[in-house]
Amino acid sequence: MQVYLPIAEVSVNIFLIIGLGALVGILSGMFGVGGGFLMTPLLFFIGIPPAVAVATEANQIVASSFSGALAHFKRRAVDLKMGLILLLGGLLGASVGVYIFKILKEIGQVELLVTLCYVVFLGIIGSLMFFESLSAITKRNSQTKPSKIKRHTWVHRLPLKMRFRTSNLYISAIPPFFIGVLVGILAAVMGVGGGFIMVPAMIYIIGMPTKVVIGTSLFQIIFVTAFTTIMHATQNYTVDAMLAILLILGGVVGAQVGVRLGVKLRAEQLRILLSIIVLSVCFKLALDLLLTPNEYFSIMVDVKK
Amino acid sequence: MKSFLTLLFLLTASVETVQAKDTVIGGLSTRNVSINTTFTGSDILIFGTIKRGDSEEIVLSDIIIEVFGPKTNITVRRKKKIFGIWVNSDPIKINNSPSFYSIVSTNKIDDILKKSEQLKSKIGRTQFFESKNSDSNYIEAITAKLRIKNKDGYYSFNNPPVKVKETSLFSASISLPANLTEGDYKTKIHLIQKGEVTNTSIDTIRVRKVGLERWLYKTAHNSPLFYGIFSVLLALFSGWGASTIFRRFQ
Repeated sequence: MQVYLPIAEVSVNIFLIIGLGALVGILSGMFGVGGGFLMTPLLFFIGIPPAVAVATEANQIVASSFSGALAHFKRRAVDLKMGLILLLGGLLGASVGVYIFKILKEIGQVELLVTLCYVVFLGIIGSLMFFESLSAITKRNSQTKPSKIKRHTWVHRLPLKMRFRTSNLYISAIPPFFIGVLVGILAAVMGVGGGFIMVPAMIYIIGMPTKVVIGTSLFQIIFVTAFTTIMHATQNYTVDAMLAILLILGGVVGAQVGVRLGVKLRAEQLRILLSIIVLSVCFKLALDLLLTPNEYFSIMVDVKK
Repeated sequence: MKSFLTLLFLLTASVETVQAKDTVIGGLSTRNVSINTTFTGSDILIFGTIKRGDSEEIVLSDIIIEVFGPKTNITVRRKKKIFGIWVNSDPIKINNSPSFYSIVSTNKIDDILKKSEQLKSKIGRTQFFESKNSDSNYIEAITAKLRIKNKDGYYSFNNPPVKVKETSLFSASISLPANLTEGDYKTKIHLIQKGEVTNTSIDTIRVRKVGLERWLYKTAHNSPLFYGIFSVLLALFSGWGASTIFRRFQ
Protein backbone atom coordinates (compact mmCIF):
# COMPACT_ATOMS: atom_id res chain seq x y z
CA MET A 1 0.00 0.00 0.00
CA GLN A 2 1.40 3.35 -1.05
CA VAL A 3 1.17 6.51 1.03
CA TYR A 4 1.80 10.02 -0.26
CA LEU A 5 4.01 12.11 2.03
CA PRO A 6 2.74 15.70 1.89
CA ILE A 7 6.02 17.51 2.66
CA ALA A 8 8.52 15.15 1.03
CA GLU A 9 6.12 14.99 -1.97
CA VAL A 10 6.99 11.39 -2.65
CA SER A 11 4.82 8.32 -2.60
CA VAL A 12 6.25 5.50 -0.51
CA ASN A 13 5.20 2.03 0.56
CA ILE A 14 3.64 2.32 4.01
CA PHE A 15 4.93 -1.10 5.12
CA LEU A 16 8.46 -0.25 4.02
CA ILE A 17 8.43 2.86 6.24
CA ILE A 18 6.86 1.12 9.25
CA GLY A 19 9.25 -1.80 8.66
CA LEU A 20 12.28 0.51 8.63
CA GLY A 21 10.99 2.15 11.81
CA ALA A 22 10.62 -1.28 13.41
CA LEU A 23 14.04 -2.51 12.23
CA VAL A 24 15.85 0.53 13.60
CA GLY A 25 13.62 0.32 16.68
CA ILE A 26 14.76 -3.27 17.29
CA LEU A 27 18.39 -2.23 16.95
CA SER A 28 17.93 0.74 19.27
CA GLY A 29 16.14 -1.44 21.81
CA MET A 30 18.90 -4.06 21.62
CA PHE A 31 21.82 -1.66 21.81
CA GLY A 32 20.32 1.20 23.80
CA VAL A 33 21.06 3.74 21.08
CA GLY A 34 18.65 6.26 19.54
CA GLY A 35 19.00 4.89 16.05
CA GLY A 36 18.85 8.28 14.31
CA PHE A 37 22.31 7.72 12.85
CA LEU A 38 20.98 4.61 11.08
CA MET A 39 17.49 5.83 10.22
CA THR A 40 18.50 9.07 8.48
CA PRO A 41 20.84 7.36 5.94
CA LEU A 42 18.24 4.62 5.37
CA LEU A 43 15.71 7.34 4.54
CA PHE A 44 18.20 8.77 2.00
CA PHE A 45 18.57 5.32 0.46
CA ILE A 46 14.80 4.93 -0.13
CA GLY A 47 14.56 8.33 -1.83
CA ILE A 48 13.38 10.75 0.86
CA PRO A 49 14.98 14.17 0.16
CA PRO A 50 17.89 14.58 2.65
CA ALA A 51 16.56 17.86 4.05
CA VAL A 52 13.21 16.19 4.87
CA ALA A 53 14.90 13.05 6.22
CA VAL A 54 17.05 15.01 8.69
CA ALA A 55 14.24 17.23 9.99
CA THR A 56 11.69 14.42 10.24
CA GLU A 57 14.12 12.10 12.00
CA ALA A 58 14.66 14.78 14.66
CA ASN A 59 10.90 14.67 15.18
CA GLN A 60 10.89 10.89 15.53
CA ILE A 61 13.66 11.00 18.12
CA VAL A 62 11.47 13.27 20.29
CA ALA A 63 9.08 10.32 20.58
CA SER A 64 11.66 7.59 21.16
CA SER A 65 13.72 9.58 23.67
CA PHE A 66 10.61 10.67 25.59
CA SER A 67 9.45 7.08 25.77
CA GLY A 68 12.89 6.03 27.06
CA ALA A 69 13.34 8.94 29.46
CA LEU A 70 10.04 8.20 31.25
CA ALA A 71 11.42 4.88 32.44
CA HIS A 72 14.64 6.53 33.70
CA PHE A 73 12.67 9.28 35.49
CA LYS A 74 10.76 6.64 37.41
CA ARG A 75 14.09 5.17 38.60
CA ARG A 76 15.40 8.70 39.43
CA ALA A 77 18.31 8.06 37.10
CA VAL A 78 18.34 11.59 35.67
CA ASP A 79 20.75 14.35 36.77
CA LEU A 80 18.49 17.34 36.08
CA LYS A 81 21.13 20.01 36.82
CA MET A 82 23.64 18.40 34.51
CA GLY A 83 20.87 17.83 31.98
CA LEU A 84 19.97 21.53 32.02
CA ILE A 85 23.56 22.63 31.36
CA LEU A 86 23.88 20.10 28.51
CA LEU A 87 20.53 21.39 27.27
CA LEU A 88 21.60 25.06 27.29
CA GLY A 89 24.56 24.14 25.13
CA GLY A 90 22.35 21.92 23.01
CA LEU A 91 19.88 24.69 22.22
CA LEU A 92 22.70 27.01 21.18
CA GLY A 93 24.24 24.26 19.07
CA ALA A 94 20.94 23.37 17.42
CA SER A 95 20.31 27.01 16.44
CA VAL A 96 23.76 27.19 14.87
CA GLY A 97 23.20 23.82 13.17
CA VAL A 98 19.83 24.75 11.63
CA TYR A 99 21.33 28.04 10.42
CA ILE A 100 24.27 26.22 8.77
CA PHE A 101 21.77 23.76 7.29
CA LYS A 102 19.65 26.56 5.84
CA ILE A 103 22.62 28.26 4.15
CA LEU A 104 23.90 24.99 2.70
CA LYS A 105 20.41 24.08 1.50
CA GLU A 106 20.28 27.35 -0.42
CA ILE A 107 23.64 26.75 -2.10
CA GLY A 108 22.81 23.09 -2.78
CA GLN A 109 25.42 21.48 -0.52
CA VAL A 110 23.22 19.98 2.19
CA GLU A 111 23.58 16.48 0.84
CA LEU A 112 27.36 16.75 0.82
CA LEU A 113 27.56 18.15 4.37
CA VAL A 114 25.19 15.55 5.80
CA THR A 115 26.91 12.67 3.99
CA LEU A 116 30.37 13.88 5.03
CA CYS A 117 29.29 14.20 8.67
CA TYR A 118 27.87 10.70 8.54
CA VAL A 119 30.94 9.16 6.94
CA VAL A 120 33.25 10.81 9.49
CA PHE A 121 31.17 10.09 12.60
CA LEU A 122 29.96 6.62 11.65
CA GLY A 123 33.52 5.74 10.64
CA ILE A 124 35.02 6.88 13.95
CA ILE A 125 32.28 5.46 16.19
CA GLY A 126 32.03 2.21 14.24
CA SER A 127 35.78 1.49 14.33
CA LEU A 128 36.11 2.48 18.02
CA MET A 129 33.23 0.22 18.95
CA PHE A 130 34.52 -2.62 16.81
CA PHE A 131 38.04 -2.63 18.28
CA GLU A 132 36.86 -1.96 21.81
CA SER A 133 34.46 -4.90 21.81
CA LEU A 134 37.07 -7.10 20.11
CA SER A 135 39.57 -6.33 22.87
CA ALA A 136 36.82 -6.78 25.48
CA ILE A 137 36.24 -10.29 24.18
CA THR A 138 39.96 -11.16 24.24
CA LYS A 139 40.41 -9.51 27.65
CA ARG A 140 37.60 -11.52 29.14
CA ASN A 141 39.21 -14.64 27.81
CA SER A 142 42.55 -13.76 29.47
CA GLN A 143 40.76 -12.75 32.72
CA THR A 144 42.25 -9.24 33.11
CA LYS A 145 40.31 -6.50 34.84
CA PRO A 146 39.58 -3.26 32.92
CA SER A 147 41.73 -0.34 34.10
CA LYS A 148 40.02 2.26 36.27
CA ILE A 149 39.21 5.67 34.77
CA LYS A 150 41.46 8.47 36.00
CA ARG A 151 39.55 10.67 38.42
CA HIS A 152 41.55 13.88 38.01
CA THR A 153 42.05 15.33 34.53
CA TRP A 154 42.28 18.76 32.89
CA VAL A 155 38.48 18.98 33.24
CA HIS A 156 38.85 19.44 36.99
CA ARG A 157 41.11 22.51 36.65
CA LEU A 158 38.56 24.65 34.75
CA PRO A 159 36.70 27.56 36.43
CA LEU A 160 32.92 27.92 37.02
CA LYS A 161 32.75 24.88 39.26
CA MET A 162 29.34 23.55 40.27
CA ARG A 163 28.07 20.77 42.48
CA PHE A 164 26.03 18.02 40.82
CA ARG A 165 24.40 16.05 43.64
CA THR A 166 22.81 13.27 41.59
CA SER A 167 26.08 12.54 39.79
CA ASN A 168 28.10 13.14 42.96
CA LEU A 169 30.45 15.50 41.12
CA TYR A 170 32.02 18.91 41.73
CA ILE A 171 33.25 20.11 38.34
CA SER A 172 33.27 23.06 35.97
CA ALA A 173 30.10 23.74 33.93
CA ILE A 174 32.19 24.48 30.82
CA PRO A 175 32.79 20.91 29.52
CA PRO A 176 29.13 19.83 29.75
CA PHE A 177 28.05 23.07 28.09
CA PHE A 178 30.38 22.55 25.11
CA ILE A 179 29.48 18.87 24.83
CA GLY A 180 25.88 20.12 24.63
CA VAL A 181 26.79 22.59 21.86
CA LEU A 182 28.51 19.89 19.79
CA VAL A 183 25.59 17.49 20.22
CA GLY A 184 23.11 20.25 19.31
CA ILE A 185 24.93 21.00 16.05
CA LEU A 186 25.00 17.29 15.17
CA ALA A 187 21.29 16.94 16.00
CA ALA A 188 20.39 19.72 13.60
CA VAL A 189 22.76 18.78 10.77
CA MET A 190 22.58 14.99 10.91
CA GLY A 191 19.08 14.35 12.26
CA VAL A 192 20.37 12.35 15.21
CA GLY A 193 19.87 12.55 18.95
CA GLY A 194 23.61 12.57 19.51
CA GLY A 195 23.57 9.99 22.29
CA PHE A 196 26.43 8.14 20.62
CA ILE A 197 28.68 11.18 21.20
CA MET A 198 27.17 12.40 24.45
CA VAL A 199 27.18 9.13 26.39
CA PRO A 200 30.94 8.41 25.96
CA ALA A 201 31.69 12.11 26.58
CA MET A 202 29.70 12.09 29.83
CA ILE A 203 31.47 8.97 31.05
CA TYR A 204 35.04 9.68 29.93
CA ILE A 205 35.27 13.52 29.97
CA ILE A 206 32.83 14.57 32.69
CA GLY A 207 33.23 11.37 34.68
CA MET A 208 29.54 10.84 35.44
CA PRO A 209 28.43 7.56 37.02
CA THR A 210 27.10 5.18 34.36
CA LYS A 211 23.73 4.72 36.06
CA VAL A 212 22.61 8.34 35.44
CA VAL A 213 24.26 8.80 32.04
CA ILE A 214 21.55 7.31 29.79
CA GLY A 215 18.63 9.00 31.57
CA THR A 216 20.37 12.38 31.58
CA SER A 217 21.34 12.16 27.92
CA LEU A 218 17.77 11.15 26.97
CA PHE A 219 16.47 14.12 28.98
CA GLN A 220 18.70 16.47 27.00
CA ILE A 221 17.87 14.78 23.68
CA ILE A 222 14.08 15.24 24.11
CA PHE A 223 14.42 19.00 24.37
CA VAL A 224 17.17 19.48 21.79
CA THR A 225 15.37 17.38 19.15
CA ALA A 226 12.03 19.08 19.96
CA PHE A 227 13.72 22.44 19.49
CA THR A 228 15.44 21.22 16.30
CA THR A 229 12.10 20.00 14.92
CA ILE A 230 10.49 23.39 15.50
CA MET A 231 13.51 25.20 14.03
CA HIS A 232 13.51 23.02 10.90
CA ALA A 233 9.73 23.47 10.58
CA THR A 234 9.96 27.26 10.73
CA GLN A 235 13.23 27.77 8.82
CA ASN A 236 13.23 25.02 6.19
CA TYR A 237 9.61 23.68 6.07
CA THR A 238 11.03 20.16 5.94
CA VAL A 239 9.29 18.29 8.79
CA ASP A 240 6.97 15.63 7.35
CA ALA A 241 4.50 14.78 10.12
CA MET A 242 3.05 11.88 8.11
CA LEU A 243 6.47 10.27 7.67
CA ALA A 244 7.31 10.90 11.33
CA ILE A 245 4.17 9.22 12.65
CA LEU A 246 4.77 6.11 10.50
CA LEU A 247 8.38 5.89 11.70
CA ILE A 248 7.30 6.36 15.32
CA LEU A 249 4.68 3.63 14.94
CA GLY A 250 7.25 1.12 13.70
CA GLY A 251 9.93 2.41 16.08
CA VAL A 252 8.08 2.01 19.37
CA VAL A 253 7.04 -1.55 18.61
CA GLY A 254 10.54 -2.43 17.37
CA ALA A 255 12.21 -0.93 20.45
CA GLN A 256 10.17 -3.15 22.79
CA VAL A 257 11.02 -6.24 20.75
CA GLY A 258 14.68 -5.17 20.69
CA VAL A 259 14.91 -4.79 24.47
CA ARG A 260 13.71 -8.39 24.91
CA LEU A 261 16.07 -9.69 22.23
CA GLY A 262 18.99 -7.76 23.72
CA VAL A 263 18.71 -9.58 27.02
CA LYS A 264 19.40 -12.88 25.29
CA LEU A 265 22.67 -11.78 23.63
CA ARG A 266 26.00 -11.00 25.27
CA ALA A 267 27.08 -7.33 25.42
CA GLU A 268 30.31 -7.71 23.41
CA GLN A 269 28.58 -9.69 20.67
CA LEU A 270 25.88 -7.02 20.52
CA ARG A 271 28.45 -4.27 20.20
CA ILE A 272 30.43 -6.07 17.49
CA LEU A 273 27.18 -6.59 15.57
CA LEU A 274 26.22 -2.92 15.94
CA SER A 275 29.68 -1.75 14.89
CA ILE A 276 29.47 -3.86 11.74
CA ILE A 277 26.08 -2.33 10.87
CA VAL A 278 27.44 1.17 11.52
CA LEU A 279 30.55 0.55 9.41
CA SER A 280 28.53 -0.84 6.48
CA VAL A 281 26.25 2.22 6.39
CA CYS A 282 29.39 4.38 6.55
CA PHE A 283 30.95 2.40 3.70
CA LYS A 284 27.85 2.76 1.49
CA LEU A 285 27.75 6.53 2.06
CA ALA A 286 31.49 6.87 1.43
CA LEU A 287 31.16 5.03 -1.88
CA ASP A 288 28.62 7.61 -3.06
CA LEU A 289 31.15 10.36 -2.39
CA LEU A 290 34.14 8.57 -3.89
CA LEU A 291 32.86 6.60 -6.88
CA THR A 292 32.41 8.28 -10.25
CA PRO A 293 28.68 9.02 -10.45
CA ASN A 294 26.48 7.66 -13.26
CA GLU A 295 24.81 11.03 -13.54
CA TYR A 296 27.01 14.08 -13.11
CA PHE A 297 24.12 16.51 -12.90
CA SER A 298 21.49 17.06 -10.23
CA ILE A 299 18.36 19.20 -10.19
CA MET A 300 17.01 21.13 -7.24
CA VAL A 301 13.80 23.15 -7.11
CA ASP A 302 14.54 26.64 -5.76
CA VAL A 303 13.06 27.45 -2.38
CA LYS A 304 10.03 29.71 -2.73
CA LYS A 305 10.39 32.84 -0.68
CA MET B 1 -2.64 25.27 -68.51
CA LYS B 2 -2.98 22.30 -66.19
CA SER B 3 -0.58 23.77 -63.69
CA PHE B 4 -2.38 27.10 -63.85
CA LEU B 5 -5.65 25.40 -62.96
CA THR B 6 -4.02 23.59 -60.07
CA LEU B 7 -2.63 26.88 -58.79
CA LEU B 8 -6.05 28.51 -59.09
CA PHE B 9 -7.62 25.62 -57.19
CA LEU B 10 -5.03 25.82 -54.44
CA LEU B 11 -5.52 29.58 -54.12
CA THR B 12 -9.29 29.32 -53.78
CA ALA B 13 -8.90 26.43 -51.36
CA SER B 14 -6.57 28.42 -49.13
CA VAL B 15 -8.90 31.43 -49.20
CA GLU B 16 -11.74 29.21 -48.06
CA THR B 17 -9.59 27.72 -45.27
CA VAL B 18 -9.05 31.21 -43.91
CA GLN B 19 -12.79 31.81 -43.86
CA ALA B 20 -13.66 28.66 -41.88
CA LYS B 21 -10.65 26.66 -40.87
CA ASP B 22 -10.60 23.13 -39.54
CA THR B 23 -10.58 23.30 -35.75
CA VAL B 24 -9.87 20.91 -32.94
CA ILE B 25 -12.30 20.35 -30.09
CA GLY B 26 -10.80 18.70 -27.06
CA GLY B 27 -11.98 17.12 -23.84
CA LEU B 28 -10.51 15.64 -20.67
CA SER B 29 -11.61 12.63 -18.68
CA THR B 30 -11.15 14.74 -15.56
CA ARG B 31 -10.32 18.35 -14.79
CA ASN B 32 -9.54 17.69 -11.13
CA VAL B 33 -6.88 15.39 -9.75
CA SER B 34 -6.90 14.98 -5.98
CA ILE B 35 -3.74 14.01 -4.16
CA ASN B 36 -4.91 12.14 -1.10
CA THR B 37 -3.00 9.87 1.27
CA THR B 38 -3.22 6.86 -1.01
CA PHE B 39 -2.45 8.73 -4.26
CA THR B 40 -0.35 6.58 -6.60
CA GLY B 41 -0.56 8.58 -9.80
CA SER B 42 -3.37 9.15 -12.22
CA ASP B 43 -4.15 8.46 -15.87
CA ILE B 44 -5.83 11.26 -17.75
CA LEU B 45 -7.65 10.55 -21.00
CA ILE B 46 -7.41 13.41 -23.44
CA PHE B 47 -9.75 13.10 -26.40
CA GLY B 48 -11.37 15.18 -29.08
CA THR B 49 -12.42 15.58 -32.64
CA ILE B 50 -11.32 17.53 -35.66
CA LYS B 51 -14.16 19.76 -36.80
CA ARG B 52 -14.01 20.22 -40.55
CA GLY B 53 -14.25 23.74 -41.88
CA ASP B 54 -16.00 24.83 -45.05
CA SER B 55 -13.16 23.62 -47.25
CA GLU B 56 -13.98 20.97 -49.83
CA GLU B 57 -10.44 19.72 -49.65
CA ILE B 58 -9.78 17.03 -47.06
CA VAL B 59 -6.40 17.94 -45.60
CA LEU B 60 -4.34 15.24 -43.92
CA SER B 61 -4.41 16.16 -40.23
CA ASP B 62 -2.21 15.22 -37.32
CA ILE B 63 -2.61 15.84 -33.62
CA ILE B 64 0.04 16.75 -31.05
CA ILE B 65 -0.95 16.84 -27.38
CA GLU B 66 1.21 18.48 -24.73
CA VAL B 67 0.73 18.56 -20.95
CA PHE B 68 2.70 21.03 -18.81
CA GLY B 69 3.08 20.86 -15.03
CA PRO B 70 3.27 24.04 -12.92
CA LYS B 71 6.37 26.11 -13.61
CA THR B 72 9.16 26.29 -11.06
CA ASN B 73 12.61 27.77 -10.96
CA ILE B 74 15.27 25.12 -10.68
CA THR B 75 19.02 24.94 -10.25
CA VAL B 76 21.08 22.37 -12.11
CA ARG B 77 24.45 21.46 -10.62
CA ARG B 78 27.29 19.41 -12.00
CA LYS B 79 29.35 17.10 -9.80
CA LYS B 80 33.05 17.82 -9.77
CA LYS B 81 35.85 15.97 -8.07
CA ILE B 82 37.35 18.15 -5.33
CA PHE B 83 39.95 16.64 -2.96
CA GLY B 84 38.93 13.17 -4.10
CA ILE B 85 35.23 13.50 -3.41
CA TRP B 86 32.37 14.41 -5.73
CA VAL B 87 30.93 17.82 -4.91
CA ASN B 88 28.01 19.68 -6.50
CA SER B 89 29.30 22.77 -8.27
CA ASP B 90 28.69 25.16 -11.19
CA PRO B 91 25.06 25.99 -10.38
CA ILE B 92 22.98 27.06 -13.38
CA LYS B 93 19.52 28.53 -12.85
CA ILE B 94 16.70 27.58 -15.20
CA ASN B 95 13.58 29.69 -14.73
CA ASN B 96 9.98 28.67 -15.47
CA SER B 97 10.77 25.04 -15.99
CA PRO B 98 7.61 22.88 -16.02
CA SER B 99 7.70 20.30 -13.23
CA PHE B 100 6.02 17.83 -15.58
CA TYR B 101 5.94 17.57 -19.37
CA SER B 102 4.45 15.02 -21.69
CA ILE B 103 4.07 15.13 -25.44
CA VAL B 104 2.19 12.60 -27.57
CA SER B 105 1.25 12.69 -31.24
CA THR B 106 -0.32 10.74 -34.07
CA ASN B 107 2.97 10.46 -35.96
CA LYS B 108 6.62 11.24 -35.25
CA ILE B 109 6.81 14.94 -34.49
CA ASP B 110 9.72 15.58 -36.87
CA ASP B 111 7.70 13.97 -39.70
CA ILE B 112 4.58 16.09 -39.23
CA LEU B 113 5.92 19.43 -38.01
CA LYS B 114 8.77 21.38 -39.59
CA LYS B 115 11.74 22.13 -37.29
CA SER B 116 11.28 25.86 -37.79
CA GLU B 117 7.61 25.50 -36.90
CA GLN B 118 8.45 23.48 -33.76
CA LEU B 119 10.65 26.35 -32.67
CA LYS B 120 8.13 29.06 -33.60
CA SER B 121 5.16 27.38 -31.91
CA LYS B 122 7.29 26.19 -28.96
CA ILE B 123 6.30 22.57 -29.35
CA GLY B 124 8.34 19.58 -28.24
CA ARG B 125 11.97 19.32 -27.14
CA THR B 126 13.07 22.51 -28.89
CA GLN B 127 11.00 24.77 -26.60
CA PHE B 128 13.27 23.95 -23.66
CA PHE B 129 16.29 25.30 -25.50
CA GLU B 130 14.44 28.35 -26.72
CA SER B 131 16.44 31.13 -25.11
CA LYS B 132 18.80 33.94 -25.90
CA ASN B 133 21.34 32.05 -23.88
CA SER B 134 23.38 29.86 -26.21
CA ASP B 135 26.20 29.31 -23.71
CA SER B 136 27.45 25.72 -23.93
CA ASN B 137 27.18 25.19 -20.13
CA TYR B 138 23.59 26.36 -20.19
CA ILE B 139 22.70 24.02 -23.04
CA GLU B 140 24.45 21.17 -21.25
CA ALA B 141 22.46 21.92 -18.09
CA ILE B 142 19.18 21.86 -20.02
CA THR B 143 20.11 18.60 -21.74
CA ALA B 144 20.88 17.14 -18.30
CA LYS B 145 17.56 18.39 -16.95
CA LEU B 146 15.64 16.71 -19.79
CA ARG B 147 17.61 13.49 -19.28
CA ILE B 148 17.06 13.35 -15.50
CA LYS B 149 13.40 14.38 -15.69
CA ASN B 150 12.84 11.75 -18.38
CA LYS B 151 14.54 9.05 -16.31
CA ASP B 152 12.54 9.96 -13.20
CA GLY B 153 9.27 9.79 -15.16
CA TYR B 154 8.43 13.49 -15.07
CA TYR B 155 9.09 14.18 -18.74
CA SER B 156 8.03 11.92 -21.54
CA PHE B 157 8.33 12.34 -25.26
CA ASN B 158 5.90 10.62 -27.61
CA ASN B 159 4.91 7.69 -25.49
CA PRO B 160 2.25 6.33 -25.85
CA PRO B 161 1.02 7.81 -29.14
CA VAL B 162 -2.32 9.37 -29.95
CA LYS B 163 -4.88 6.89 -31.31
CA VAL B 164 -7.10 7.93 -34.21
CA LYS B 165 -10.58 6.60 -34.97
CA GLU B 166 -12.60 7.27 -38.13
CA THR B 167 -10.10 9.90 -39.31
CA SER B 168 -11.39 12.68 -37.04
CA LEU B 169 -11.72 11.22 -33.54
CA PHE B 170 -8.60 10.97 -31.43
CA SER B 171 -7.63 10.03 -27.89
CA ALA B 172 -4.49 9.65 -25.78
CA SER B 173 -3.78 8.60 -22.24
CA ILE B 174 -1.31 10.61 -20.17
CA SER B 175 0.05 9.15 -16.93
CA LEU B 176 0.70 11.53 -14.07
CA PRO B 177 3.31 10.02 -11.71
CA ALA B 178 2.78 9.30 -8.00
CA ASN B 179 5.30 11.92 -6.88
CA LEU B 180 3.26 14.77 -8.28
CA THR B 181 3.63 18.50 -7.66
CA GLU B 182 0.48 20.40 -6.83
CA GLY B 183 -0.76 23.06 -9.25
CA ASP B 184 -2.45 23.73 -12.55
CA TYR B 185 -1.50 21.40 -15.40
CA LYS B 186 -2.04 22.97 -18.80
CA THR B 187 -3.03 20.78 -21.73
CA LYS B 188 -2.59 21.87 -25.34
CA ILE B 189 -4.07 19.99 -28.31
CA HIS B 190 -2.49 21.14 -31.57
CA LEU B 191 -3.98 20.46 -34.97
CA ILE B 192 -1.19 19.97 -37.50
CA GLN B 193 -1.82 20.34 -41.21
CA LYS B 194 0.75 20.57 -43.98
CA GLY B 195 3.58 20.81 -41.50
CA GLU B 196 2.12 23.74 -39.60
CA VAL B 197 0.07 24.33 -36.47
CA THR B 198 -3.36 25.45 -37.67
CA ASN B 199 -5.34 25.37 -34.45
CA THR B 200 -4.74 24.81 -30.71
CA SER B 201 -7.19 23.95 -27.96
CA ILE B 202 -6.06 24.76 -24.41
CA ASP B 203 -7.44 23.33 -21.18
CA THR B 204 -6.39 22.98 -17.53
CA ILE B 205 -6.24 20.07 -15.10
CA ARG B 206 -6.29 21.18 -11.46
CA VAL B 207 -4.01 18.99 -9.33
CA ARG B 208 -4.65 19.59 -5.64
CA LYS B 209 -3.74 17.95 -2.36
CA VAL B 210 -6.91 17.13 -0.45
CA GLY B 211 -7.92 16.17 3.07
CA LEU B 212 -5.11 15.41 5.51
CA GLU B 213 -2.43 15.95 2.86
CA ARG B 214 -3.75 19.44 2.15
CA TRP B 215 -4.10 20.34 5.81
CA LEU B 216 -0.55 19.21 6.67
CA TYR B 217 1.00 20.94 3.67
CA LYS B 218 -0.91 24.21 4.17
CA THR B 219 -0.20 24.29 7.91
CA ALA B 220 3.50 23.54 7.40
CA HIS B 221 3.81 26.50 5.05
CA ASN B 222 1.31 29.00 6.45
CA SER B 223 1.80 28.53 10.19
CA PRO B 224 5.19 26.79 10.51
CA LEU B 225 5.56 27.51 14.23
CA PHE B 226 2.22 25.91 15.05
CA TYR B 227 3.07 22.99 12.74
CA GLY B 228 6.44 22.48 14.44
CA ILE B 229 4.91 22.52 17.92
CA PHE B 230 2.11 20.24 16.70
CA SER B 231 4.66 17.74 15.35
CA VAL B 232 6.57 17.75 18.65
CA LEU B 233 3.39 17.27 20.72
CA LEU B 234 2.32 14.43 18.43
CA ALA B 235 5.70 12.77 18.99
CA LEU B 236 5.59 13.30 22.78
CA PHE B 237 2.08 11.87 22.92
CA SER B 238 3.04 8.78 20.89
CA GLY B 239 6.19 8.29 22.97
CA TRP B 240 4.17 8.47 26.18
CA GLY B 241 1.42 6.27 24.72
CA ALA B 242 3.89 3.62 23.61
CA SER B 243 5.58 3.32 26.99
CA THR B 244 2.21 3.23 28.79
CA ILE B 245 0.77 0.52 26.54
CA PHE B 246 3.86 -1.65 26.80
CA ARG B 247 3.99 -1.33 30.58
CA ARG B 248 0.44 -2.72 30.71
CA PHE B 249 1.57 -5.80 28.80
CA GLN B 250 4.51 -6.49 31.06
